[in-house]
Amino acid sequence: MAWQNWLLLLILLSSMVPGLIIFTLAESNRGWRTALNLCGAVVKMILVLVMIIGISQGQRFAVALPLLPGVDLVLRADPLSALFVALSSLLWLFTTLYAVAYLEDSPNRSHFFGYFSLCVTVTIGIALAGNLLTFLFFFEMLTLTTYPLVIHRGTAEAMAAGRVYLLYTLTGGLLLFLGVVWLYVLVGEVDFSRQGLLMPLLDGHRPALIGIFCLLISGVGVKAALVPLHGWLPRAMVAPAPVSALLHAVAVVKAGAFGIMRIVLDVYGLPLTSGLGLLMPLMLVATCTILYGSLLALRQDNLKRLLAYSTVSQVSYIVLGITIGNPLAIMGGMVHLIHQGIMKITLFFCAGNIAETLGVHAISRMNGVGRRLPLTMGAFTLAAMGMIGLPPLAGFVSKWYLGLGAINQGEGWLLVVLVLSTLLNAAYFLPIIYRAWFREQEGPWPKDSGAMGLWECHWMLVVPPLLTAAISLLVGLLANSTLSPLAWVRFIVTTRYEPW
Amino acid sequence: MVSPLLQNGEPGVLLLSMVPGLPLVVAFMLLGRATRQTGLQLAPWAALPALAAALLLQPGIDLEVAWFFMGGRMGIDEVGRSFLLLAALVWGAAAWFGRGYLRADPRDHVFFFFYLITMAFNFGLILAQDMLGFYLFFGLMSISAYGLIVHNRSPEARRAGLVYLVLVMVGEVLIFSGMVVMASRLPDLELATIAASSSGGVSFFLLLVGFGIKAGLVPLHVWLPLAHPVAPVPASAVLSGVMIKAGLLGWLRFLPLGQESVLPGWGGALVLLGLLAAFYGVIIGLAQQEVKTILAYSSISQMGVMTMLVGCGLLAPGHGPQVTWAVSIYALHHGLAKASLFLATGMGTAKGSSPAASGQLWLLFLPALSLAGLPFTSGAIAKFVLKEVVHALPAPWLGILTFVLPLTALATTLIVCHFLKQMAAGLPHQSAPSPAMRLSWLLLWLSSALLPWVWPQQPAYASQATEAALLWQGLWPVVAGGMIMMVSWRWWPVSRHLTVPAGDLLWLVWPSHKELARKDEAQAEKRLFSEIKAGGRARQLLDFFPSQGRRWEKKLRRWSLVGAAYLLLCLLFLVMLFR
Repeated sequence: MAWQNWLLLLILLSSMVPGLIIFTLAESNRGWRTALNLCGAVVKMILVLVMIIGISQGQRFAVALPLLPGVDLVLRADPLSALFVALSSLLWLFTTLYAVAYLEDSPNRSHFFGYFSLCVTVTIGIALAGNLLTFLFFFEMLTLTTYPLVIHRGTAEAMAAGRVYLLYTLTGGLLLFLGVVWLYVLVGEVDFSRQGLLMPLLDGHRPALIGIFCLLISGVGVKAALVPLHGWLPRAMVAPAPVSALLHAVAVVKAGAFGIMRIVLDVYGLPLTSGLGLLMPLMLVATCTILYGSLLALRQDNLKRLLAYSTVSQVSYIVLGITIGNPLAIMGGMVHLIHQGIMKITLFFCAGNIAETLGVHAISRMNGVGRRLPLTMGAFTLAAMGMIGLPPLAGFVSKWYLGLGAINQGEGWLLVVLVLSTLLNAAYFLPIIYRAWFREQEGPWPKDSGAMGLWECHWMLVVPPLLTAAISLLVGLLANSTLSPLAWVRFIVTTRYEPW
Repeated sequence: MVSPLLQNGEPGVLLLSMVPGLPLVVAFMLLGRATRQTGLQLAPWAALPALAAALLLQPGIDLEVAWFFMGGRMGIDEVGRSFLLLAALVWGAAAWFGRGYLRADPRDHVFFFFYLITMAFNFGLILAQDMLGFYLFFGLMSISAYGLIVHNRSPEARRAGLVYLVLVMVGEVLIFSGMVVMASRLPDLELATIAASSSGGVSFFLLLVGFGIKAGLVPLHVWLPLAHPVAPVPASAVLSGVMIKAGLLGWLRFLPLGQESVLPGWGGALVLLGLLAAFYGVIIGLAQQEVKTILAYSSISQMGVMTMLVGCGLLAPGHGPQVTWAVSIYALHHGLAKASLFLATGMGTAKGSSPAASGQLWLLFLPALSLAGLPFTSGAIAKFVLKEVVHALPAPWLGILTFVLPLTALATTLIVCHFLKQMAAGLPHQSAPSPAMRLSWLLLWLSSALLPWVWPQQPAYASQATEAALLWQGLWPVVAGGMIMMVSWRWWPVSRHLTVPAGDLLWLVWPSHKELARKDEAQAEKRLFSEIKAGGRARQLLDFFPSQGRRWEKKLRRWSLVGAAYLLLCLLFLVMLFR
């Protein structure tokens, strides 16, 4: 095999091997564990960078491994997978850094970091999956590797959340499995690189195609937290902050959204999806999710729960972009995969800092936090304003392209949805910012782990949100440069989906 | 007339980038403990690059930064130059004033942080030569001004801030939608392209209302009289002098002025709305006691006149440039005069307290009466260019406006007389102004008196505006207004017969704060805090949905919807398979 083929395997192994070794390490072996984690994350970053440069120069990366007789595990890197891989590996690096400091004195760290690495491996697997069976394989693995992370704290609440999580995701997995098998029976292996594979079935197998689509979408829709399949997400926020950060920004929810992209754009293809009349229902589901998630977020007083509902709402921007279905809107949706990830991970990092340093979980107790944690709240403010979609932050870029796409497609009413969503986001994020900066502290904090040297708390808790907040500013501010996610998404859309 | 010295090229580009750049740098210096004092000392000078750019740079200079945001273009054009001059003078003088005004305030660095970033964004929006750049800086400026309004953290300030922020967000989404609709029809987003294209319908309406919120368009003006009295004096000066003009500039940049294709109905509606605001602002303003509130209502009234001008631009095809120019002259005149009046409210003018104070009171007559268009003041030029535009209008409007315009001048006289009387009655709790405050105020006063005479690019207007026939036209409304006020003070004081809380129409839609409007402070404070505790009024309005939503959420969980959805899908399958 040429080096191009090894590269994809190496990318997977760069987090899997450290993960497996960490399981065997003793709990007290902090140095080795951290070193392995960070080495893995950095090596993966470098490999991913090599892959992205390769793809932009037209190189092809693919590898097939025999899984079952007649069934191959196919890994292939197209520009869309590169987008997701880049997001996962970058944010994994930051989250690892954050998690090391966050879990400093808590029990079961080897266990935690082991599953943490596996979770990222599997997410990368989902991104690189070259056909539907491989996708299914990794998608199911994701449920199994994230479950231990969700219940990591072991409290009754965590266990209950874990049960709900399993119930939802396994049922979703079952639906997805049924859909994949049915499709396999109809056409055999579904390779993502062959577009229009299902087109000939349009005449004879219309009901079957619709049924399969419903199965597939409701299968991945559970992880993408489409209303009404979102119930697990707000509960899963009992997990430790780094897990929530990863769950919301990269791993589970994004895997679902990525799955919807794959199914609509690559398995069915936009012409077939719209020919079957399935784009409109999915668009309606997405708009309902956007508004419903935000309306529920309004009422939350627990910061992490509010962020969870905000994720429900924001991830559906991605689905909305895909279902509008013209290049501009697809760009807006796809780039939101990156933008929402960066902004949301910042928000969860900050929520974790506030909880960890001051013991504050409720928004109503956040008065004056800005004075005590200015850097954290600065990052939070940037990310929250990005979520609202204020220029020049990341969220605005997505919103702008979604809006343009909607108008060009003649769906002006979607502009109303975007506007309402913006106002709702403002209505639940601005009060938090207001409390933190413009109100005085009331009474002592529940606890205060104190400043550390130059930093307001442990530096490894402050640096990751600062970096991700800076990135969420830069990807918006420099959206037009050739290195921005927007430029890459434009590359994807012009090379693959423009002709339609 | 000032001649441009710098041509396109390196020094010009450097100067251009320093216009928003320097204030931002100084603002961030204020955040670090070590650089804070230096930052505070630099704050008054941060507007100098803008002043230099306005005076020295040639219109037409621009700078394209392809990687910035979504392809940015910054530059100076004719309109921008005039607005930049106004902004630089007012922001600079008010910053200088503010150093003295806030000298005893321990949180002065917080104020100047918000002041400087707001200033940088305000300069940025004037320089922006493309749609998204303008939108970017406009949004940033609006949001950062919140920090100026709530600076003193009183319940009134918080309430004004809340009203302001809600309206800013509504304006923001309206402008966003308007721009998306407009952008979908344009080949590129540069202002030159927009000026050449004709936009009507939806995007026109969205942008009109969106920018109208900032420009104090009645009935969206309610934030203005609330925000001005509570903000520190330098902040009110820039709010009224410059920032509300950003909405006006938005109209000039994005509305199809002087084009044939637009609906003349909109132009007429805008003219009427402007006239309504011109009189409405005066009537409500006369019922006010607080000097800064009176000035705020006068600003609403004056912005009404400028709204009327913009409406004229929509009614008179082919007169786009003339209207734009007239609006920028009017804005320059009003901004300088109003800012110097606002700064005066921060200097304490108790009658007879000192010769300097009473001298200053007499000096106030000039900017005050220039608002009413007194001959030989900057207002005379503004009213003259206004009349020039009106003469270009088609038949019914020409007659109506020729009749009504002198009445607006008369109304303005009434409100400025009311203001002067309140000033003469003295202001409570003011410490003596520092020399820097006096100097910066004098600077602004002088620019207000002189600048509009030397600035206009067509200096012929300055001499025409002083012709004998026009003198009488300018004089009689002022004389009549003054006499009416004297009569009214003697026999029928308006404010004793008419009490309207600041924020007027707001109380129709926001009744729970009537107590605060009636100055029943203890009651209102209790109410306000309980509301903020409950998550703010905006959230309460939406209470219904979340409470319903929570109920659904509970049902969904109990019922384990996934299982049900699964069963449903299986059924669907069976039906399809056996069909």
